[in-house]
Order: sequence, then C-alpha cells, then structure tokens
Amino acid sequence: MAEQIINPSTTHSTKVAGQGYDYTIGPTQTLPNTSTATTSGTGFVVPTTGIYGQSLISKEKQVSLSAYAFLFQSIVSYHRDSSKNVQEIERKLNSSGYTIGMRLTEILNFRDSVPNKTGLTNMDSVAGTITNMKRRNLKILETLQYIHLTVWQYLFSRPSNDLVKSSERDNEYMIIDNEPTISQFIQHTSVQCESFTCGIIEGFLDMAGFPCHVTSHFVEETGFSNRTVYLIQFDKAVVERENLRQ
Amino acid sequence: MFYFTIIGTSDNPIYEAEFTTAKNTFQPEIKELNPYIVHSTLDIMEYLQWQRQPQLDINTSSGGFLRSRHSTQENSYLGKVDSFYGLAVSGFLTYGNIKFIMVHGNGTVDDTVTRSFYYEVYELYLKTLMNPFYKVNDPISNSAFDSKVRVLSKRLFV
Amino acid sequence: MSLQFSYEKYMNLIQYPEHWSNPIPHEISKKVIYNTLSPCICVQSNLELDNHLKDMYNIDSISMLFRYFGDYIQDRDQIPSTTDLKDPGSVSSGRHRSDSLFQRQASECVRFTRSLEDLISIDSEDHILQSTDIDSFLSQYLQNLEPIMNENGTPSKLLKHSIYHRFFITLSSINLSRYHSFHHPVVALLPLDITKGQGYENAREILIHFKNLNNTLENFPEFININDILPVFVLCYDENSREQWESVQALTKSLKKQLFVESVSISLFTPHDNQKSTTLHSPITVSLHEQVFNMSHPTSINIPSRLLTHIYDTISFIVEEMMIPFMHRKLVFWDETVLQPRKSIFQSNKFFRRFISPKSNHPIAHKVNDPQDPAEGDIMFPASSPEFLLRKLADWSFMLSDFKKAYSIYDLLTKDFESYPQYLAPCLEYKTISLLMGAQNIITAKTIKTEVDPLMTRAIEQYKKQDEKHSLRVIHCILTFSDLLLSLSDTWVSSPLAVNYLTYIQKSHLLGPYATVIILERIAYAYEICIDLRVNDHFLPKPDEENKADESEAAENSKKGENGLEVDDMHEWRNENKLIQNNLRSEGLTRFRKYSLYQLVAAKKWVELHKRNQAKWCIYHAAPAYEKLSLSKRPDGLFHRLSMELS
Repeated sequence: MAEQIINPSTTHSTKVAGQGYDYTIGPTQTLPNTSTATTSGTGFVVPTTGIYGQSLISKEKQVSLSAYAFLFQSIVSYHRDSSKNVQEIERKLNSSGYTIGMRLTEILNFRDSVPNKTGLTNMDSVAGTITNMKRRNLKILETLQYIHLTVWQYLFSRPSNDLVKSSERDNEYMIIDNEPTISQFIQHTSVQCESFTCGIIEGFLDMAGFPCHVTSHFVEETGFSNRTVYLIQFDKAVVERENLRQ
Repeated sequence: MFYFTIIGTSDNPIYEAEFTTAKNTFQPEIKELNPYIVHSTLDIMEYLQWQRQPQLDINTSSGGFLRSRHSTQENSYLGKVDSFYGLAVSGFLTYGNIKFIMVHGNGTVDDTVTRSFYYEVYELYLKTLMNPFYKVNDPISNSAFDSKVRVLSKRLFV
Repeated sequence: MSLQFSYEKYMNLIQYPEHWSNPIPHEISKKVIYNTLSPCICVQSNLELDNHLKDMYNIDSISMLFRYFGDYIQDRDQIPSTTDLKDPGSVSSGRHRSDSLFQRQASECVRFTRSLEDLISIDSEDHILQSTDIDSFLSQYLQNLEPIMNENGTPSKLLKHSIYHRFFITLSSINLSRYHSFHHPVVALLPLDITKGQGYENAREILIHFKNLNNTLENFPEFININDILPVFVLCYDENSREQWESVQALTKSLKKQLFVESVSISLFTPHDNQKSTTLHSPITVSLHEQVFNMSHPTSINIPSRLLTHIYDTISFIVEEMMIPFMHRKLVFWDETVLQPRKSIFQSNKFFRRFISPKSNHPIAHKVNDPQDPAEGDIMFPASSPEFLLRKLADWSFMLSDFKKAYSIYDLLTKDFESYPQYLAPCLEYKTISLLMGAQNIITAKTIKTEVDPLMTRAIEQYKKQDEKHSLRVIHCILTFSDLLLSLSDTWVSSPLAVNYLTYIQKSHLLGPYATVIILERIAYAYEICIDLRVNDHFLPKPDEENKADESEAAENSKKGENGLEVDDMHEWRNENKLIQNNLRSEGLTRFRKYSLYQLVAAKKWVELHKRNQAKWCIYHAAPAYEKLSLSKRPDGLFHRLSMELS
C-alpha cells in the first residue's frame, strides 16, 4: 500500500487548478476556460493521489490482537487520567467509539451495494459497478439485526450472541455478547470499558436516523464471566415514528 | 445548467457547486434563489425519507417515479422530487441520511445519468468521510474532491 | 375604540392598527365568500327624497345611505359598542348584536345596491374588470398603508390576510350576469318622503313605473324577471310630527290593501340637533370602482345614534319578515312547478324525451345577438326558461344556506347545460362551492381526491375554453376554490391542491405585479398550514420573540455547559460529535421550509415594487428557518442582502 500521509481535508497540500469549496462564499461555477475541454487529456489536472485514489473495498487485513489490546489499554488510561469520575470515563470512551460508528453506517451499507466485491479491491472507483443501491433500513428491527449480524461480523469476526426486545418498555432493545472482544484482557472494574463498543453502536444508529442512548452492563452467566449486555434506548420519538409510518 | 449541493444533518450545506457551460447558465434571479430552493426541497425529502415506498402522491407539485412496488426496491435514489417554476429538483439519500440535492435548470431529470452521477459522488463522499480528521457536517473544502466532482458533472450535459 | 374584533374590523383592518395582533379568525374565507354571494337589495331612487337627504345629512342618495348598513347585518357594526348600553333612546327590540366572525352558522348577510336601472346600465363592455385596474387600486391601497405600517412595527399575519381578502373582493364582479342569479336583486326598496307630502298617488306611480321597467327600458335584460323581485315601500318621515306618523300608518294600510305591497317606516327626517351622533365608517363590500373612489374622496357622514339602531331594526325586519319568507315561497313554487317535473322519470330518461313534444309554453333557449357584447351573444336562457329557473332555485337555496339542495340542483343542471359551456362553467363552479361550504364534515381525504379535485378541474377547463377577455373570471373561480380548500380541516391533503391552483394563476401571468405578490403570499400561507394532523406544531421554529422565551426556559432546565471540553465542577462532559435532532416528530410532516421560501420570494418582489414595509414583514416571517443557517450569512446571499436592505 502506498505510504501516504493522510491529509486533513481542510488543508491544501497540492495546488491544483480549480479551488475547493469555501462554505463562507458559496458555490463556484465551473470556469469557462476549463469546462469546454472535450477530450480528457486537456483541461486541468485531476489528482489521483491522496485519499481519492484509494479503493473503498477493503482487503482482508489482519491486525495483531496484542497491538490492538495495548492500543485500547492506552486509550482507556488516557481517558481515565483526564476524568474525574467513572461516568466521565465511560462517556469519553463512548465518544471515541461514536465517530467510528458514524462512519460504519455509510461504508458498510455501501459495500453491501457493490456486487462482486472480490475482484475489485484495487479499483479506484467502484460506483460504476453498482446497478442498484441496497435498500435503506427504515425499521428499528431491521437496523438492529444488521448490527447484530453484519456490524459485529465486521468488527469481531462473528455475529453477536443475541438480540432481545425489552418487554417492559417499547423503546429498549438489548444486544448480548458473551465474550466481548475488545475488553477481553481487562479485569472487571467499575468502569465499563465496553462503552467504546456502545459508542460504536450509538454512532451507527444516530447516523442512520434512530437517535438513541447505549450503555453496557455485565450480566454474568455460567462460563462467561465477561458477558455484556448492550442496552439500547431509543428516543420515544423514534418509536412513535415507527408506529406512524406503517 | 445544474446546481448541486450536499446537505448535512442540520439543513446546512456542506458542499455546493454549479455546473454550467458557456451556453447554459442560470439567470441571476434564479441563481440567488438556488440555495433556498434546495432548502425548501428538504421538506419533501424528509417526507420521503421514511416512506416504505418512496412514491410521491399529491403531496408534491409534480409526478412520481419508481413505479415498482418491490419491497427490496432501492430507496436511496429518489429521482425527481420537486419542481419550482420550470426547474426540476432531484434527490438522493445516503445511508447516513446525508442528502444530495440537485437543481436541474432545464426542468427535466434524466434518471440514468443522474443516478450514476449520484453514485459516483457518493463514493467520493465516503472517501472523504473515511478521513479521520474529517468530522461529519464539516464543509468539504478539499480541492481534489471539487475537481473530481466537476469532471463527473460533464456527463450530465450529454 | 372598541376592543371587540368583528368582521367589519377585519375587512377594514387598515384603519384599526390595534387589532393587528389578533389571531386569524377561523373560516374567515368562507365568510368573505358568503358575503360576496349574499342577496342583493336594490334601492330605487326618489329625487325629492334624495335632495332632502342631502340637505340634512350630506348624503348623495338614499341608496348610498343604505350601503353603509349592509353585509353581516346582525353585527350592527356601524354602532360603536361603547354607546350601546348607555344610550337611553336605543330601541331594544330583542335583537341582540352578534359577532358573525365567531359564529359557526351563517349569519344574515345582504348587499345594498343602486337602483335597478343603474344596475342594468352599468352592465356594459367598459366595466369589465381588467387586471391593470386591480393593480392600480392595489398600488394605491398599499401606498396608503405604508405610513401606517411604519408606526406599527410588529409584523402581523392578520393584516396580510386582510389585504388578500380585499384583493379577493375586488375580483368579485358585481355585474348582472346572465349565467347565474347571484347579483340579481331579490328585493327592491321604493322610498317615499312623507315630509314632502308624498303619498299614495306617488307610491302608485313609483310602483307602476317599477313593474313596467322591463317594457320601458330598452336594454332590460331578458334574464331578469321583474316579478321575482319583491317591492317594499320605505316611508321616511319625521318622528316629531304627529300627523306624519298618522299618515304613515294610513299609507301602510292602503298600500297593503290596494297595491298588495308591504311597507316599512323609518323616522329618517327627525331633527337631531341635540342628539349624540356617530360617524359612519366606510362600507365593506363594494365594487372596485367605488373602492377607488372612496379612497380618493373620503367623506364623513354623521348619523344620530338612535337612528342607527332604528335603521338596523328596520333592515332586520325587512330581511327576516319579508325577504326570507318571500324567497321561501318562491322556492316552494319553483320546486313544484319546475323541479319536480324535471326530476320525473320521463324527463330524465333520454329515450322517453323523444316522445315528449314541447307542449309547455316555456320559452326555450335562443340565440341572442347582444350588440354590446358580441362575444357572449351566443346563447341566452331567458328568465322564464326552466333551466334558468332551476339555476335561480339553486342560487336562492345557496343564499339561504341550504347547501345540500343547491348542490343537488347544480348537479341536475350540469346535465342540462352539457352543450353550453358558458352556462356549464358557472354551474360546475357553484356546485363545487356549495359542496365545500356545506359538507364540511363528510369531506375526507379520499373525497377531496376523488370528487372535489376532478370537479374543480372540470370547472376550470370549461372556463378556459372561453374568451381570454374574461380571464379574471377564471382567476376568481380558482381563488374561491383554493380558499375553500384551505379552510378544510385536513389541510395536509387539501393544501397541496390549493398550491397547485395558485401556482397555475401565477404561471399564467394574467395578473399584474401587485396581485402576483399577493398570490405568492397566499401560497406561502397554504404551505404554512400544510401540517399533518398528527403533528403538534410546537416543534416548528418561531420568530424571535417567542423563541427567546423558549430558549431561556430550556437553559434553566438543563444544567449543561456549551462547550463539552469545559471542565467545570457543575457541568458534565458531553460528546461534541453527538448528532442532535430536534424535529423528529414533525420530520417531513410539515412544509415549513417551503413557507419560508415563498416568503423570501415575496419579500424580493415587494422590494422591486418599493413596498418596504411589506417586504420587511415577509423577511421577518422567513427568518426563523434561515437564521441559523450559515448560508444566510453570506454577504451576497439573498437573505442577507434583503435583511440588510430592509433593516
């Protein structure tokens, strides 16, 4: 893989013809002297380096589990040092996972729309191969099932163990994982390190249009000491909308 | 001529571009109204966002699209969603409910061309999103993104 | 000034700035439409009486006097409410004042017009309304409004509605029409001046002259039947004179016995030197030309307060005890003679029709060459033809609020008028109007789509087939339809239809610039009320003052800090990436942004027409949707530019 520094989108590393979008000014027109070019060779230079040159279809990459565990551990300590109480640590872990979840909604669904992925891992642009986008999930249950299966598969190489709807309240659902992967080396503490995964779920659901609040809890069972329940509480408005739009 | 925007989660445009040629440009009074026309189309887009079959009934000023009733029917590309005095407006929803909206100056929406345009721009958007330094709802000011979108826009003029 | 809001105050809102912050009355459109279609009472002229009136009160003629007392008569809006109870002389005849604005059922409403001869003579070519006339009136009207708006800064939605309805009224022509009978007088008042010695002989003369108008006037239209107008004598006398009072009594009896005509008496000429008097305000429903005249020649007429009540009592008496029973009698008569035979099995079955020879002596429709209006001279049904009688039957039922009956007769007539598009169009129009006025409860979303909409389209098609010259009729028809649609309760379904129709008017460029902007504002209003019934519109953004109250409440309730990174003992750390969605419940179920867009476009057009205050108010209403957007802060953007220009 090309060793490129990831440039923030807000800086201009290479000067190319044409300017970027400036939100304080507004839209710019395609300039007359560059837009009438009919052949692709003339006109302005289209950069193919940078993030736009990468493929969106991932190769199956493996990362060392211990490296990951150390990284996660330092994240937890970092947050622990900068927080005053347990709640705050959990919130910060949540927010760390939140941005991941926001991206997952988009990228995983997009990848599902691309047919025949195996041959495309080197292609610059795969959008041309899509005939129909996969249908957007509109129902709570569909989305949760997607998380339970596909997202978990993507993150932890296996689906989660259970998806349950609470019988008491209609806006509460639970996903259960018997052996949560990312915190498997962390001893039981008062801090819920799985808040990180909660953040991922929360970001995923928020972005997909189901605002919610996710927390994790230890519920031990025989043989599974780290068994965690992720409690998803949707906004009441989400449930109302679901009923309204039958 | 076309006016294309990407709208974030709180009605704010995160990208705007006008695609024009020497022969096809917007009249000044339409040009200044474009962002507001797009903003008003958000009402319709939000309505369609949660419909099981995103088919427009009398709740918009002009006709519908996607006649098929299959439950697996795509509901990202919405086709022509609105019109405003001779302009047509088409829309597209991403999986994260980001909206791509485009005003078509000639009043018609060519579904095939527009759809493939949206797909390509979506891919570019995703690549921007994958950048960890880019936050959702930030304006996309990367010039590479801009140039690529403009290259893609040439297809619209055929 | 009275604090009570009334229909008259709504229509003349330009004169009552203190009421500008009132909410919009419910079903006001229906009331306005009903007002323009209320029964006409023509007032015949009497030269001697008019001169006397001029000397005493400085009023041109008695018909002018009556004009001030028309419209929703039970409102008694010429009487200021503060003096009502205190005046010892006010006659309490058991007729209480009512407020038609807030009542559900239709109140009594009449329009007073000039004499029949005058009405017929103005029905000529040059009085066909042009869109330029309307525009120049609006331009002047709004120009007068600008300084008043300067003083009263708070933007008022009510005023915009009032302006729209005034525009609507100017579009409603009051010319006598051969296609329907809404502006044909139902009652004719024949005034007599007792103080000048006019008596039985004069009365007899006047009556004979009136009854023979169809023979004496050369252009008396064939579609008016003089026998369908109820004559009523109005005997004007001086209360202080005992002998005049006695002669009034005697005259009333003899007129009844020998001429078979009812009469009423008004003590119009009682000297009023020491009495309290009130200045009359201008009448409401007047034609465009009169409105223009009124604006440039404001007059003030003073009438003693006692006389006001007396006049209202008399008018109520005429309407309730004479006009309405007369109309009912006629309706029953026509029902028996025309409607029942029409509904019989032989008539309705086309097969049997062939066997029915035209035995009846009802004249049939014939071609008429109208020299004044060649384009319309194709076909006219004379007043005694069964079709026109049916039309009259339907119109009078409508005027008496029997919408169901009116609807069924219009339905019947649409079959009769199939081959006469000029008659068919108003027929379809009024069929729709009576449906929407009367059947408020049975109209569901489905009915709107399956019945009301096709009916409207059909009516408009028929109108469009006709001459371009009469394009304002189409516009009036469409505006009526859209107003009625917008006053239905299920606005989520009816509002987009109304928008379609209004946009059609706009695109057709039939109206001048002022009228077009007013239509734009109406479209904005249509979008404003287009809310799904299940949404509580509490979630929509509101203009500044209301927002600030909400925000301070919210700030008190929550203990959150603004910036998540602020480490404060009292505040908790918040995820600054967390997406916040405030309008989940109303998402997609309102058209608030469309409303704002049209307000913005209207503001732009107002600036072009140099009406700054109107534009300012439009921007104020568009602001809630745009203020928080960064695009609105761009210096060359439309919203910013207009806001700066107008502040």
